Amino acid sequence: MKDYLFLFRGGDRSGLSPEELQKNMEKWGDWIKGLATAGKFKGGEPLGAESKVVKGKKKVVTDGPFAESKEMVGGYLIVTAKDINEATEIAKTCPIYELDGITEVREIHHMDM
Amino acid sequence: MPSKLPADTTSANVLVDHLFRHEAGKMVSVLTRIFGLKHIEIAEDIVQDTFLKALDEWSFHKIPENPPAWLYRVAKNRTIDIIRHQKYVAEYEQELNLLLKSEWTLSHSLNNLFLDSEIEDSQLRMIFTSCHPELPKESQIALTLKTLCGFSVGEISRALLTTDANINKRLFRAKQKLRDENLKFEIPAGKSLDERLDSVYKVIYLLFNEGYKSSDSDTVIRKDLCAEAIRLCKLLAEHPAGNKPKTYALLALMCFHAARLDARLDDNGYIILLKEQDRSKWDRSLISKGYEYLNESSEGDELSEYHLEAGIAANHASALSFEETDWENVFKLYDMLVKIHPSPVTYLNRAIVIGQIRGAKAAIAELEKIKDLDEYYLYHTTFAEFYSLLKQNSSALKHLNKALKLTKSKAEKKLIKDRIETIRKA
Repeated sequence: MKDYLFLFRGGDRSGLSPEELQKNMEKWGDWIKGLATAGKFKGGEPLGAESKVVKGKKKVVTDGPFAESKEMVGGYLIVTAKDINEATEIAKTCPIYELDGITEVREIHHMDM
Repeated sequence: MPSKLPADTTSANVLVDHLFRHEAGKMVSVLTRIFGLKHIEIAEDIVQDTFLKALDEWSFHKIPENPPAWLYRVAKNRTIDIIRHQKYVAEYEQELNLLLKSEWTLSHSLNNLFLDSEIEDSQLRMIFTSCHPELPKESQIALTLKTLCGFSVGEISRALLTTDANINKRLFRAKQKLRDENLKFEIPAGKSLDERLDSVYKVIYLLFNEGYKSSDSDTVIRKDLCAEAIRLCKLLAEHPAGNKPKTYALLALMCFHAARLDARLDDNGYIILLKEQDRSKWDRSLISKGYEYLNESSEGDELSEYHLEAGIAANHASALSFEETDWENVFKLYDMLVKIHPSPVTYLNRAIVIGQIRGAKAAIAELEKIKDLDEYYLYHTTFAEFYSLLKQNSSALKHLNKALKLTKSKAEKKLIKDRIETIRKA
């Protein structure tokens, strides 16, 4: 088994009504619970909206990196799967696409001890 | 890297249905009391931020033991932040101004405002404000749904079968009026209370009717409207300012009608007439609630239109079949109703009852006396029903064709077309 990082981008929820927010939240909760029950879930957190980018030798600090919320990373999850195909199949069951969000799936390379 | 386990998978830690929607109404009301009607947008923004924060926390972690308390805490903290930043700029609602401006009392005062009794009080203020007679009727409904029921513009427009742009306009006008007229965020007292209550009843009743009558909008939101109207009316009944016989009469009326909601449409969303409804599908618990409220409404000597309409609805609810309805009693109630509320639609309903008692000819004679309903499709379908009973099929068809042109609703058109087919075949 390998670990995969799911990076969630976009899926802006700011325009939803309280009722829609609650439904959306319940979907995420159910999804993550389902992964945990299946032993696939290893961790994850949402990320705050504020972000800073430090860049270059001069260490220039800017706000960002993305001005548009549709490209902003909103959270991550670590999931165990057999290979990238299974991880991608799991990513497909995420509720983020209803709100035009994106999931990026990356394998985490652990150091061999 | 924190690797917390999410909500524990064994306990069913789920949220109550519509929790966010109802908590939105509470929090916007409380926060409007703090920031004043002029800054209702600040209140709405804080509430939205609070929910987004809940979303982040709760979808990845455990839902807290007491979700509303969690929401209030976040909203309070956000409010304290805002107040600290604007301390010397903003004027809060008069009665709170000093308390909120001093660091000594700020947090304590906010806590007090989030006590149950104060939340109720704030919601009542919001009801009376949203239904303020100074606001145009259409704006009252939109504002009530927005502030008290947490509906988004999209949800309101879907529920009221109109466009987002239209709802935005209505809300904008309402908020403008609140500012321009300097309306107070308060519960009226004394003589003006009764007047203002009447305005509230009208809005609640309209809200209910929007949900009840429209058949083309989607079922979920339609039922939500009815449920929200009943919820608001209950809020009113539970508060000393609104605890009146008329409030209970309106509650009773809505319960009796709501009991028939599921029997009113078939699986394809088409209307089933009262006569043909499967009465076993009527919600018995809502009917008995209706009777409870009707009992409560009989205190005092006021006999409002809501009392009479509730009485009529109760008669239908208790009849085992359409034929077994106590039409004489229903007729008496309609006779009283046209005296208080002589609207053409009430006369139309009364004519239908006359038809049940004295036959189709008498009904047609009554129908012909009604003015101002020529553009109302139900006026013509009623004519058609009685003409077809008299086997005067060409007159019946003439009215049905007229009715067909007068309605835009798919469900209603289908109903009329079916009738035309049946009569043609006969």
